[in-house]
Amino acid sequence: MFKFTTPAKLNKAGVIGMNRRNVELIAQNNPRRLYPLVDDKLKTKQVTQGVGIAVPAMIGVVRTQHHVGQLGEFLSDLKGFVIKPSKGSGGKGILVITGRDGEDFVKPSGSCVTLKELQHHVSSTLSGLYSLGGNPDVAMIETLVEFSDVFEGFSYEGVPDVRVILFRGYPVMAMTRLSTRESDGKANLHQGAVGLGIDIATGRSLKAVQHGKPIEHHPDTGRKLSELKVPYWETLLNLTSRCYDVTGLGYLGADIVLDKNLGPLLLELNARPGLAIQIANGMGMRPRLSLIESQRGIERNAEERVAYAMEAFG
Amino acid sequence: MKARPQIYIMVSLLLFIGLGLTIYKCYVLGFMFTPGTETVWQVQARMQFEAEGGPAKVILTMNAPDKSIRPVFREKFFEDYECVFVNEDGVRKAVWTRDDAQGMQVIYFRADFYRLSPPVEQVPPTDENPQDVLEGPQRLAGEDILLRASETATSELALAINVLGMMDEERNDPYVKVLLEEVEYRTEYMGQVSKVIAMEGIHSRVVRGLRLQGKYTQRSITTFIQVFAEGKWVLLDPKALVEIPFSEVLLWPENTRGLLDVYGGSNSSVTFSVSSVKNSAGQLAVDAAQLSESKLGDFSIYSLPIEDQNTFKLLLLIPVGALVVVVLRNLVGIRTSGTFMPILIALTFMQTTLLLGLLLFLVVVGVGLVMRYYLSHLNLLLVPRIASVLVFVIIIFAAIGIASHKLGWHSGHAVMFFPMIILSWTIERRSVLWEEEGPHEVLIQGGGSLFTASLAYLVMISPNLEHLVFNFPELLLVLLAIIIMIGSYSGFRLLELGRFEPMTRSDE
Ligand SMILES: Nc1ncnc2c1ncn2[C@@H]1O[C@H](COP(=O)(O)OP(=O)(O)O)[C@@H](O)[C@H]1O
Ligand SMILES: [Mg+2]
Repeated sequence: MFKFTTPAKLNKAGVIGMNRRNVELIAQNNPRRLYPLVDDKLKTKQVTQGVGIAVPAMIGVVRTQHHVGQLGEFLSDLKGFVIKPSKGSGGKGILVITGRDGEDFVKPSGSCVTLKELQHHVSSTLSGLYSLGGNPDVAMIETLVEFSDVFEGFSYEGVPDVRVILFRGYPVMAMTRLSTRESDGKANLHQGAVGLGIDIATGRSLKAVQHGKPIEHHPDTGRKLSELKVPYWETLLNLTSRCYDVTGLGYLGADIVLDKNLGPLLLELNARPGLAIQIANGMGMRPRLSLIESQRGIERNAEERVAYAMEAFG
Repeated sequence: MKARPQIYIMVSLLLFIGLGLTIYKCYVLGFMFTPGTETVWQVQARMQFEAEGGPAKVILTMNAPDKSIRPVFREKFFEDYECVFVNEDGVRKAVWTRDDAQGMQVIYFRADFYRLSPPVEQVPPTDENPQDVLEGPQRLAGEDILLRASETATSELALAINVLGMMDEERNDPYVKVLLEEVEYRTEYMGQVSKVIAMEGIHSRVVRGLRLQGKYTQRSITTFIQVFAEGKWVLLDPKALVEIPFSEVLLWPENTRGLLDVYGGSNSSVTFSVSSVKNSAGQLAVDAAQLSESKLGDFSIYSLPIEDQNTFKLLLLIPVGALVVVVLRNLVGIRTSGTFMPILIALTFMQTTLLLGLLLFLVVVGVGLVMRYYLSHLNLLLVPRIASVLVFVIIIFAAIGIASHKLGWHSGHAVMFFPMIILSWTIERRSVLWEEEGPHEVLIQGGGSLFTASLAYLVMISPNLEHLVFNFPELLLVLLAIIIMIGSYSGFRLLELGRFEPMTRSDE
């Protein structure tokens, strides 16, 4: 269980550790003042709208307790929608509504929520129940993503999203995390979720690891993991690459979901993306970062950057 | 990348100042690197005389200058007398003057000091052989005594001791009588001893000094003999006939006859009292530095009033705890819940001791988590939620306090030392963590926090470390340098060597 390697071997494998991520990647590429752009989902939405970055459409924002009273009327002819805290994280406070049952709202599990309960949820959100440090927040209402079924059978519960790491706007690595029974439907690798590296060149799965060990099939569904291919791959990468242009964050994680009709949609951005992606890819990130570093000074737009990365990292 | 050179400059600067000051204080001001106590000798001279009614002047010859002596206190001023210190050909004197003195006068002069080891510089005699001055019958008597003394002596020192013993005890021996013929005072026989052993080529000298011994004693200046044997000076106790360490005697300059000169008075006398106390070496070094008016010595915890010292002591230990946290988080990779919460827990452990502290912590947090679990159904807002947890914590404190009292287990009261607000936040964070990430993560982070706190505690209670930060607060700059260096360290953490280990396996 507890095997240790040497720093020399990790360096040889090109692995980036936490300290290097913090000292070199984040501190030198992500100016602090840009953080609010990604830590506040409402701001992310505002900067991504109208520049060709597809996001789940915004239906409304609840900013004051006064608005909460008008919610019933506002939501009356909506079928599916999602309410989320603007400054939430880790899935906290996200309420997904997939349909209506008379006056009540139906959750994906099939259970119902009354308008009163929904209003209570929103007003708790406003007072900061779900946001970092308990700060007052706003609640966003956005359209329900109709998940495409490419991930059908690849995950035990829920729909996985695709995480792409961008360095100076170049996609350098991608993965998706598949929940398992063991991970209790959660997508955390250290809790037993499966990490699936995705080939930057093709969108096909590269290799899959669970608890750091390579696996072939999903432990619960039995699906052969090498069969996964993310559709609209180049579109998806172009979408993520544009996020660099609007945020200016040099080391950026982008979470993408696939909508049945709309294709790839940006769900959220992260200025401190983790390092587990290296484990899922079975590969250190450093050689790729160095390559991008060597491209400094060459002006490329998002499409050109993606083309370069697909070529270089194939 | 531009930050790098800046960091190097800053770190070198901090190291230079911090270590430089430390070394200076250590080698120049006599601060100690390790904790310990020193014996402080309080020597008081009581001078007494009958004044004649006019101006009076009292001159006390002081002890010989000695580099090993660190004065820490000196009583300088005396009622109606003005006091100055003068130096006449290397002999230090204290001079008291008064315009008109009438009747019995008593002057006290007190000096406190401690001794550094090694005490006295050894200056070997300059001549190859000592002056050999005995003549005639005295010479013959000396030869006989030497002959007898050498029967049982195996070394120069033993020979000298034998002669010394014979001349003091066998006063009726005819040869001794010859030698002591012209000696007025009983105590002056040592000069003759010196002459006798000089015939054997042994250097010696008669010195006067004050024996530093015991807790509190009245003493007068006594005479000792120093013998140069086997390449070093040895001080002999003429009565017990044994060697006395130099550190136990305060020597007066050679060739001083009277210690006290009084003008404008008669019937003068001086008596000494010697007492000793144990004192912390750190405190003494500061006192000594202050007496010699060194500014750097002031920059120490011990220069504060005693009451303030304790507060500051705790304060100075916190950075050390912070360093432990930084090392464990950034170099080892241990995760803790709440960055500096472990330091606060460690400070609590300092009041409760480690095992009791751990036990109480686990009980309070455990019970708190169970109570908090019921709260989570109520979907309370943040502040009221923490406030409720706080009330829980206080109820648990009270319950432990009362229960332990009823059971006669008084250590239970130590629970009061835990910071309640911090504990409430800890419980809140862990319960959120439990809901979001599961019990596994709570165990990892909770265990990490307690481990960090315990280690910080163990480091912070180490007496050596305590001594270092109290005496050399400038070491905080060194600490800062280390923290800055760790802050810019971009290598792997220890635990990452395990985390990323699978990536170095080959796939075959
Ligand atoms: N518009 C949406 N439609 C459907 N599901 C959504 C939507 N927004 C979020 N979700 C679900 O909630 C999860 C967390 O959302 P995300 O925006 O990443 O918030 P967080 O910052 O809390 O992780 C997503 O992985 C997705 O399953
Ligand atoms: Mg997310």
